[in-house]
Amino acid sequence: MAATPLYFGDSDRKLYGVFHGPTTRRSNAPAVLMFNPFGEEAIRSYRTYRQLAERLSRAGASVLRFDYYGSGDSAGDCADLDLDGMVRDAVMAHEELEAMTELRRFAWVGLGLGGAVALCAARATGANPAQLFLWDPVLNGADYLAVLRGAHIAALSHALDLPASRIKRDTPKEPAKMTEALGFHLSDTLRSQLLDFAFDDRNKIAREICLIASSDTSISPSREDILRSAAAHYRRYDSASTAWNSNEAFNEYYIPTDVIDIIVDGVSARS
Amino acid sequence: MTERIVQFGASEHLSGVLRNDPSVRGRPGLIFFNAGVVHRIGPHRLNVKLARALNAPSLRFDLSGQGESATAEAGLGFERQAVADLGAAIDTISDELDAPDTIAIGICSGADHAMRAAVADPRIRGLVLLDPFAYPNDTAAGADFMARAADPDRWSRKIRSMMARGESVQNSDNEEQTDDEIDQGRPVAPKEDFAADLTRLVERGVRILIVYTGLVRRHVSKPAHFFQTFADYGFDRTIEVDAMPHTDHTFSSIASQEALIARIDDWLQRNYRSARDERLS
Repeated sequence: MAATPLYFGDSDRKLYGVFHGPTTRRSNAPAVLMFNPFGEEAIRSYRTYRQLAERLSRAGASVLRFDYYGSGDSAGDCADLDLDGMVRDAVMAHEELEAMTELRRFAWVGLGLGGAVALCAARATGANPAQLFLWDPVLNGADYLAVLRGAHIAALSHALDLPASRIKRDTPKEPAKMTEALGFHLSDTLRSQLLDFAFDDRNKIAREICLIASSDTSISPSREDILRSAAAHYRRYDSASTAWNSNEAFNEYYIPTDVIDIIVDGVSARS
Repeated sequence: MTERIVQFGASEHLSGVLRNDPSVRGRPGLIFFNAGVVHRIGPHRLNVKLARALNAPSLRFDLSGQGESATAEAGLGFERQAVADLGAAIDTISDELDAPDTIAIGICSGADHAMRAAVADPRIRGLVLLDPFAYPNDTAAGADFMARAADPDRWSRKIRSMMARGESVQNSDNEEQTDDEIDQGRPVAPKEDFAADLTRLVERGVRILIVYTGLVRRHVSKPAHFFQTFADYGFDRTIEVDAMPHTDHTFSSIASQEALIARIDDWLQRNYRSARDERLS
C-alpha cells in the first residue's frame, strides 16, 4: 500500500498526517506512531522519517507520521505550537492510528522534542506502548532551550556569514527569553512549558524503551537512570552516523541508516 | 480549515495541499513547491506561512520523487520533469480553483524551475523569484568589500582565527564568498540566456518580482546593481527587483519572513487586484 496523506482531528485543530500501510503481511506486526521533533529539526529529519516509515511498512508495520498543530501542513500558526498541544495532538494521532488499523500493539518513535512529547503522552494516556524508541530525546526543557540558542546563533552566523559575536548581541542571553529559534517561534507558552519539563517519572510507561544516542548527543547518567526505570526492558544504542540534524547530513541527503536498521529490526524482532 | 490534500499528475503521483476559500475567489492562484532539499512546506515553513498570509488560492506540492510525491514514470531528466510537474500543478489550479491568473513562487533552485516553467507554459502569468541566478557586478562587489573591511567584528574574528591556526596575515584567506556558495552549487545559466528568458517573459506580459538576499550580496545588494548588470535590457522599467542584503538565503529570522510576506503581498495587491477587489474599493 502506498503512503496515504490525510487530515484528521477536530475541525478547529486539523492535523496533517501520512499513513503507510503494511506492504507485507506479518502476524503481530505493530502500529508505529512517529513523533516529529521541533521546528527546523522536523524539516531536517523529514527524509529520514519518511524513509523509516517506508522501511517499517515493508517490514509489515502500519505507520502514521503527523504534523503537530502549528507545524508542517497542519492547521495553526507556528506561534500556536506548544508542548501541551503537541501532547494532545499525539494522543489524537494515536487514537486515529488505532481506529485505522484496529491494532492494539504500538511502537512509538520520538526524535528530539518528539521524544519528550512521546514520554508525556505515554504518561498522560497510559497507552503503554510495547516499544518506545527515543532518539536523542529532550529530557530537560531548560537544557533544550540552551541547545536551541546555541544552534540558532551558529546557524545565523553561518547563513549570514557574520561573526557569532554579532548574532549573540542580537540574541537574548538567557535561553528562557528566546522568542524564536532557527526560523520558528518560541511562544511564551512553549518556553514556559519547556522550562517546566524535566522527565523524572520512574513509573513504568512502556514495556521497552530503546534510547538511541547520536554521536554528538550527551544524556546525563542520572536522566538515563530515570529513563531506565520507566520501562520493564531498557537498552541503549549509540549511533556512529553523522548527526541527523547537521548541515552536512541535510544538504547531502544523508540518512543515518544504522538508526533506521535498529528501529526496524527492533520492531520486527517483537513481531 | 480551507485546505485539502490533492493527488494529481499523469499518474496521480504528485501530492500537495490545495488552499481555497470563497473569500479569495477571483484572486490569482499561487503555486509553491520544493526549495532545494526542503519539502513542499518550504524553509522554516515559509511556503505555508506565505500561502496563508497572502489571501489567495494556492497549491503547494512536492516535485516528482521529493517529499510525498512518487517518482514520475516518464523518465524525463530532473529539470524537464520539474517543468512537467509545474504544468500538472497549473492544470490542478485551473480545474479546482476559480483563479484568473497563475503565479509561480520559487526559492533558489525552485526559482530556476519556476522560470523554466514560465518560459514553457504561457498559463503562468506571474513569477516571484527568490534568489534566482545572480551575476557579477563590480559596484556590488566593491560595496561588499568595503563593508567587510570596515567591520571591526570581522577583523577580531579573523585575528583570533589566524592566531589559533598560527598563520600570518599573508596566509589568511580573505573570507570572501566563493562562487559556489553564492550559486548554492547549482549550474548558473549564462547571463545572456537568463536575460533572454526574462525578456521573453516580459514581452509575453508576465509580471515578475525578484528578491535577492544577502547570499548574493557580492553580486546584488541593491536593485540598482541588477539593473546595471542588465543595463542593455531595460529591466528597470519592466521587472520589480528588491534586495534584502541583511537577510539570509532561507529567511531564518521571523522578522525577515514577515518582511518578505509584506513585500510579496504589496506586489500582489498592486499587480493583481481582482474584479471583486475593484468592486469593493
